[in-house]
Amino acid sequence: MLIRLKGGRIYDPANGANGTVRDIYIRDGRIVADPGDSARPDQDYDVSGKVVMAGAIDMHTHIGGGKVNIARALLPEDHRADLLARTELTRACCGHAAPSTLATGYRYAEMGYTACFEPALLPTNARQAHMEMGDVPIVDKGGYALLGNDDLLLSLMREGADQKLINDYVAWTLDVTQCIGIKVVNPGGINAFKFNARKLDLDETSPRYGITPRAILLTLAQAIEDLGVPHPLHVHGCNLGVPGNVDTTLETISGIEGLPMHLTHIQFHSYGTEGDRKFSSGAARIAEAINRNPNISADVGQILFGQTVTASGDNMSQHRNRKFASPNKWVVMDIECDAGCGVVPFRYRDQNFVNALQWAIGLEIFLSVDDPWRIFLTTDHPNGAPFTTYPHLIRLLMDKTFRNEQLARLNPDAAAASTLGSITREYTLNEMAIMTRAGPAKILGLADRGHLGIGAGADITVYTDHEDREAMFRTPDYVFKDGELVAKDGRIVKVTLGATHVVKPAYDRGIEDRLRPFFARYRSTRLENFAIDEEELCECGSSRLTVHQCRHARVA
Amino acid sequence: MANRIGAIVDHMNSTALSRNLLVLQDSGWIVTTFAEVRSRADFVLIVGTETNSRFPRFAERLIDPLDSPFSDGPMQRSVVYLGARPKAPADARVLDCPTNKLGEVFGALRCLVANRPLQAVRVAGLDMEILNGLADEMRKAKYGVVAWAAADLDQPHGELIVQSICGLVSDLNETTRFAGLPLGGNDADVTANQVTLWQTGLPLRTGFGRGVPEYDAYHFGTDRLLAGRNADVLLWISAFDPLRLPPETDVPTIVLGSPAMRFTKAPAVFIPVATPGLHHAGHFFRSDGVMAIRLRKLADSPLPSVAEALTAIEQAL
Ligand SMILES: [Zn+2]
Repeated sequence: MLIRLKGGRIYDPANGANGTVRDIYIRDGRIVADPGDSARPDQDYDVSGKVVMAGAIDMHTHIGGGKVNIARALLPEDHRADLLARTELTRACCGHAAPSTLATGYRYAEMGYTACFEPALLPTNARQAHMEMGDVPIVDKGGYALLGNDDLLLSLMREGADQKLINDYVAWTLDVTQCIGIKVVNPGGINAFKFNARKLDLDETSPRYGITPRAILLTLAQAIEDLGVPHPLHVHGCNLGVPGNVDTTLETISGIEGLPMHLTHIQFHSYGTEGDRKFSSGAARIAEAINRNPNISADVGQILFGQTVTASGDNMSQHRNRKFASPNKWVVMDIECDAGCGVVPFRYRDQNFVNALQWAIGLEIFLSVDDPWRIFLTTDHPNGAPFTTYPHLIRLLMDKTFRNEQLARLNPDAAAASTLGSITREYTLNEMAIMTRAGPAKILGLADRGHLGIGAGADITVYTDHEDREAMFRTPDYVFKDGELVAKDGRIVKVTLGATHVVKPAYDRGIEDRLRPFFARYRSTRLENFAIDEEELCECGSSRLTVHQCRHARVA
Repeated sequence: MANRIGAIVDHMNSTALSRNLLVLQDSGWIVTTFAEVRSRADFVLIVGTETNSRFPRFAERLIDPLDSPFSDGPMQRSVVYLGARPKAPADARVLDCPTNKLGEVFGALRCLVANRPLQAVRVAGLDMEILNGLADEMRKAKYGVVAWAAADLDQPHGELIVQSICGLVSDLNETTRFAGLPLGGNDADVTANQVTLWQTGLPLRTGFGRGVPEYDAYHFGTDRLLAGRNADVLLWISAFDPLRLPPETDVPTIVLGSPAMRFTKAPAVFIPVATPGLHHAGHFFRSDGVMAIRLRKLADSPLPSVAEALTAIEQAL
């Protein structure tokens, strides 16, 4: 079947189109060249004057896995306030802070998103995460496997294992957990918390292992580099949320010694200690460091006001944050000599000095990083705000007048402590297409997503160019997933299954002999039962496994 | 199918499971998983003395092994059972107290751990000296664990015992590390709850009668629905255990169950089904709710899986 989108304004930064008017042709789920006058489209959509972009990609969103389901269990009252009724096509479910998997898929697709990446997939919990992601309909999924607090890696490092062996362990982890990247959360800190440490600085040695977070970051970043994995090491750094952590973050940037590194929810790591309240913005210093270091990228983790829930692998920080739980209930968990998690409900208030300044710090970072290819639009869903707030966030970035109106409503001391009011930058549509499409695809190594070139997967979103950017990005006219119309005017019209994106770097299978005894003795599952294969993924609701190229070919 | 016909989804073990769930919803908790207990716990308090009969491999797998990646020689682990002595293992260290007094014991322990004065001489038949010693031991533990099976706390408001356990664990974490370990998972109860949670956003005892999911831990309990005749029909699924028969009720009953089931009162409809992990693949959540185990197909069966049977029924509606 041939589909034509006729006369749209194309924003396709990967291929240099910045509002260029041209037709797009789709056949068998892919974008194809103009087949010429003799070919009659089976479906023709007149999109003249409309804005056409690739489907959006959320490169950091907690959509499935143990801690998300704990967050769901914790907050029935939040769900009761946001019920999705059953329709002919969609099932009854609940949304808001920790939406059901079904609501997650429906609402991402309705907003024009076609791929979501779960950033904290514990290897021991990978099976659950993939089951949940399989039940997120329509959008494609992928995961980053968590390493850096597991007793296996720390033991290897303590024994002085060579980098080659660690590379094999990292590649094996990616392979058996079916992931596309590696994330480290509070390197060594989650492990140290099990030994009753309450903080672990970048150069502090961990209990038992005597290893510093700096060494863990370097070792893992080197592994990613050696294996040729496209996505840089995905880092949730030390001292999350602690005033003064801007210094830690800057040292983390210099400490990685030029290796590629992605700093996630960097807003939560950009706090100074100036002023009467010993809490200030470090955004300018962070943005300057990102601008100066081309090996560094970041997503923001913007906070927006209202009820949400924070769900993190960083149980050391979450245990500290329990005092701010609202409503007052929280979960902390130690997990399988592998990792941990902490879930703390949170209500960000615009009249609270700290919350208001957090809001401003996030926006300052967005607007002060020069290169939109290295900064990504996230709220760290649901930690800063639910993903359904993205259209509002986009308006804040694209509309200075609107932004300043919002700023005027905040806690006045926070507004006075921020430079935000003096920043005049407004993101353009082309920059927004970079930040939410082309950039994420590039940094994840998704060759056929995030752009509208010939051969790309036909994940396409069509918007009406509305002056109110929030209205525009909330309700696209059309959303196509792999060439099928899945949403129209912000309503689901077809429910499909998404693919799972992974990488498969080459490694020596002999690593399993090294790991097997540890699993047999100390883990409560055998190594043989650990791996997830494609058949199992598809049984859980994935349409297919899409393997992306590493910089080195895979050895069979 | 529940979404389609407006049914309520519950599990045969929900009454026990909800003792934990209500605490999670009200205050949360600090918990741990099997591998951490096995390798790290230097103190384990087991609440109730039926744990070993209910979970036969619990002690063998988690409590008995004393080698650890974190200690160079065998680790030291104190194990204390708290509950009715007759059911405890023969050589165990037992603090003998009736199950219905467990809430009082944990209330007292919370006072003692917080160094608050307590005017009692004995609590639940236990001398203060013993409880003081226990509180002291807990404070001195490096990684302590309190394990309980909600099924053992079968009494009115058993969830309050779970809440006092979790409160104690939380208090202990002010100075040391401590964690709870809820034991369950039988008959895929944890599995059913996990899947219901992620697909709907709400736990078991969620109904779809009004086109949106509605959760009601009290009114949507199976026993209450049947007793009040607030259900038209009961669909009972037990693919694992042929001994788990549907409750006796006048409400018309359909059973999807093991072909080995023997009924005293025949259900209106009985559809024999295959066994997951024997006749077809599937997943099963372990008690700690983290590890999902892959169930594999080992043999052919002419019988449909529960999923196949339900899909066929739904298509015929
Ligand atoms: Zn995150």
